[in-house]
Amino acid sequence: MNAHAGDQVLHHRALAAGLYGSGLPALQELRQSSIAAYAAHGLPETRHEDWRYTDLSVLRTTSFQPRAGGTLAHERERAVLGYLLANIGAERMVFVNGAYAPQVSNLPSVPAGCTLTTLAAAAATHGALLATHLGSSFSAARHPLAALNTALHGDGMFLHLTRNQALTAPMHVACLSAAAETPTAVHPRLLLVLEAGASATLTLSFQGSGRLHINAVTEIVLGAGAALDLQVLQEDSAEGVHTELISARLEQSARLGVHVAALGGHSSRSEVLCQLAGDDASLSLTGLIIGAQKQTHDLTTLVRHTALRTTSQQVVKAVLDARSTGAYTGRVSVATGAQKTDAAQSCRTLLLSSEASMNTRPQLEIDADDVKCSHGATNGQLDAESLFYLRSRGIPLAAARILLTRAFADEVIDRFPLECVRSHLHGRVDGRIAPKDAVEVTA
Amino acid sequence: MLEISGLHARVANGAEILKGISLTVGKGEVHAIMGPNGSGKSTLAGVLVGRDRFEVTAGSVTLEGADLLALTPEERAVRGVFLGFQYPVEIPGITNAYFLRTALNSVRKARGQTELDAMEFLTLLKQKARLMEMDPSFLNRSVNEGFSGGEKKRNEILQMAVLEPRLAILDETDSGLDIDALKVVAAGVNALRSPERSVILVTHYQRLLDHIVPDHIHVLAGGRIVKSGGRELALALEAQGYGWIESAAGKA
Ligand SMILES: Nc1ncnc2c1ncn2[C@@H]1O[C@H](COP(=O)(O)OP(=O)(O)OP(=O)(O)O)[C@@H](O)[C@H]1O
Ligand SMILES: [Mg+2]
Repeated sequence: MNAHAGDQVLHHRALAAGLYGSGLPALQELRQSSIAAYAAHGLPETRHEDWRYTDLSVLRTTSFQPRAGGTLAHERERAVLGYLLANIGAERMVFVNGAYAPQVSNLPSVPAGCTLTTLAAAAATHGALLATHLGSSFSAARHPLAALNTALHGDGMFLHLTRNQALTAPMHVACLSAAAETPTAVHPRLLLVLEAGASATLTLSFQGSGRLHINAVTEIVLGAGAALDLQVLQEDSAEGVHTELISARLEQSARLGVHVAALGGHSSRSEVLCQLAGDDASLSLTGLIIGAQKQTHDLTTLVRHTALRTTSQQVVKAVLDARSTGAYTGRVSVATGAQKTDAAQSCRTLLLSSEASMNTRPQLEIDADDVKCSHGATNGQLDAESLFYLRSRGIPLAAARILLTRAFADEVIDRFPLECVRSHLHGRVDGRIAPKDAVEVTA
Repeated sequence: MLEISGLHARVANGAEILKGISLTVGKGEVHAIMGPNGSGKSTLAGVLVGRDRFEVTAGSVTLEGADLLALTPEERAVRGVFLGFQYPVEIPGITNAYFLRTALNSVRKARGQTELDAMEFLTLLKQKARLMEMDPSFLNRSVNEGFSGGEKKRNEILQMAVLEPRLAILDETDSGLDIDALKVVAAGVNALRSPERSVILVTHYQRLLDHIVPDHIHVLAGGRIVKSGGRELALALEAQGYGWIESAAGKA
C-alpha cells in the first residue's frame, strides 16, 4: 500500500468513526472491511471489461468529500422538493445530502410488526437484521464503489415487512443533494427486507445540483412470494457523477420489478445485480436512458438464474442526443440445473445526433440445457419518412421530432408502474430533445 | 391557385426526373394526371409538398401568388397543401386520433385560429370517420400500423377531410381500393369540392374519373406533360394505352 492509499484508509476510518452504528460491532467490522476492500481494489478503471463504458476519471482527479448537514439551503432544492411532493405521492422519506430530513418527510404508518425508518434508527432496534443483510448481497471486492458506500454511508432507509404484510400506498424516497463550495460525495443507502408474501411499491428519486458524486446502494431481500416494484428516477446533477448498485436476492416465486430512468449526471452508472435463487422467481427490468450534451450513461445488469423455472425480462431503450453515449451490458448467467429458465433482453436505441453513440453487450453464460434465452438490439435514427409525413400534415419539425421520440420512449415508460412517474418521464423526454428547426435528419 | 412553370427537378445529385413541367390549376378545378410508371408523377407531387430528396434545378411554383418552393413542408400544409401519399407511412406508438389532432391544431395555431380541445376534436373526427365509413377503432390505433393497403388509403382521405386543404394532391389514392371503398373515397373528395378548393388526382385508372369528374386531364411521360385534354382523353388512354402519345411526343 502506498503512502497515498494509506492516508486514504486513515481518512476513511476517521470518517466512518463518526457515523451511526458504533453500538453494533458487526456494522463496525463491516465498515472496516469495506474500507480495506476499497483500498485494495480502488476505483474501477475503464480497462476493466465491466467498467469499459463508465467514465469515472473525474473521481480520480477530484476529491469529493462528504458534507454534513441536512437543510434545504438552496432555492432550487426547495423547488425540486416542492415539485416532487406535488407529483410523486404524499408518503415520502427525504434525505438531504444523505441526512434524513424529518421535517419534510411523511412516513406512512406500517402494519404491526413492520418497520419503516432510517438505518441509523434501525441499528438500535433491528441490529440483527442489519448485521445479516447489510453488504451481504454483493462482493465488496467486485464492487468497490458499493463497498465505499458501505464504509461511509451516514444514514439511509430501512424497510422491513413481515410475512404477508404490504405497504398500502406507494412510497417515495427522495435523495436531494447539493454540492458545497467543494466537490461533495453522498452515499445514499437503502435496505429493503420483505418476508414471505409481503409487497411494496417504491420510487427512489435522485435530484442534485453542483459538483456531486452520488454513490447509492440499494439492497433488496425478497422472501418466498414477496413482490416489490422499485422505480428509480435518476436526475442527478449534470456536473456530477452518479454511481448506483441495486442488489437483490429472490426466494421462491418472489417477483421484482426494477425500473430505472437514467437522465442525470455528467457520467452515470446504474448496476443491477439480481439472483433468482428460488424456483419460479421472476425479474422484470426496465431501463430508460436519456442522454444529452456530453453525458455518458451505463446500465449494467447481472441476472443469475440459479433455480428452476425462473424468468427475467429486460427491456431497455436509450434516446441519445448531441454527443452523449450510452451503454447497456446485460449479463445473464444460468447455473447448472437451473432448467426451464426463461431470460429475454432487448435494447433499442434512438440516436438523435450523428455524434451520439451506444454500446450494447448481451453476455450469456448458460450451463443448463433446457432454457430459453433471447436477446436483441437495434440502433436507429428518427425515421425520415415518418418525420416528413408528420410535417406534411402541418406539424413543425421540432414537434414532429418530439412526437416520434416520445412514441419510441413510450414502450418503456409504460412499463413504469405508477402513472405519476410515467407522466413525469413524458415531460422529461419532451424537454430533453433539443429543438433543431434548422437541421434536417436523414435516415 | 397553383402555377407551375418550367419545372425541372432531380433526385438530389442524381438523374433529372422532371424535365420542364408547366401547369396551371385554377380555383375549384380538378386536374387528373396520368402517365406510365416511372414517368415522374409522384416526383411532381413530392416537389409540390417539399420532399427534400428532390432538388428543383429550374422553374417556379407559386400558390396563390406565393413562392411555394421557398416554404417548409409544414408551412405548405398551413397554406392548405395536402398530399395523399401513394405509400402512407406506418408510425407505431402514435394514435391516429392524437396525430390528427396535433396536425389540425398545428395548422390552426399557425393560421392564428383557436385550437380545438379534445372533446371538440373528437366530435369532428368521429363525424369525418362516419363520412369515410371508417370504424372508430381505427382512430385509436397507431397511425397506419397494420392497416391493409385499402385502409391506409381511406385513412389518407380521412386526414384530408379533417384538414380541409385548399389544394389536395392525391397520389394513386384509388390504387388498391375495392369498388365500395373507391366510391367512399370519391365521395370524400367530392364532399371537399368547392369553388375555393382545387384537386390534383394522380391515377392510372379511368374508373376513378367516373366518380370524380375532372376538368382537365394531363399525360405525364418522361418527365414532361405530353398531352392535355378533357375527359375523352382518359377514355382514349384506357382503350389504347400510352404508346401512341409517347411516340407522337417523341416525333414532335
Ligand atoms: N430517390 C430516388 N433515387 C433514384 N431514382 C428515383 C428516386 N425517386 C424516384 N426516382 C426515379 O424517378 C422516376 C420517376 O419516379 P416517380 O415515382 O415520380 O414515378 P411515377 O410516375 O409516380 O410512377 P408510378 O406510376 O409507378 O407511381 C423513376 O424512374 C424512379 O425510379
Ligand atoms: Mg407514383
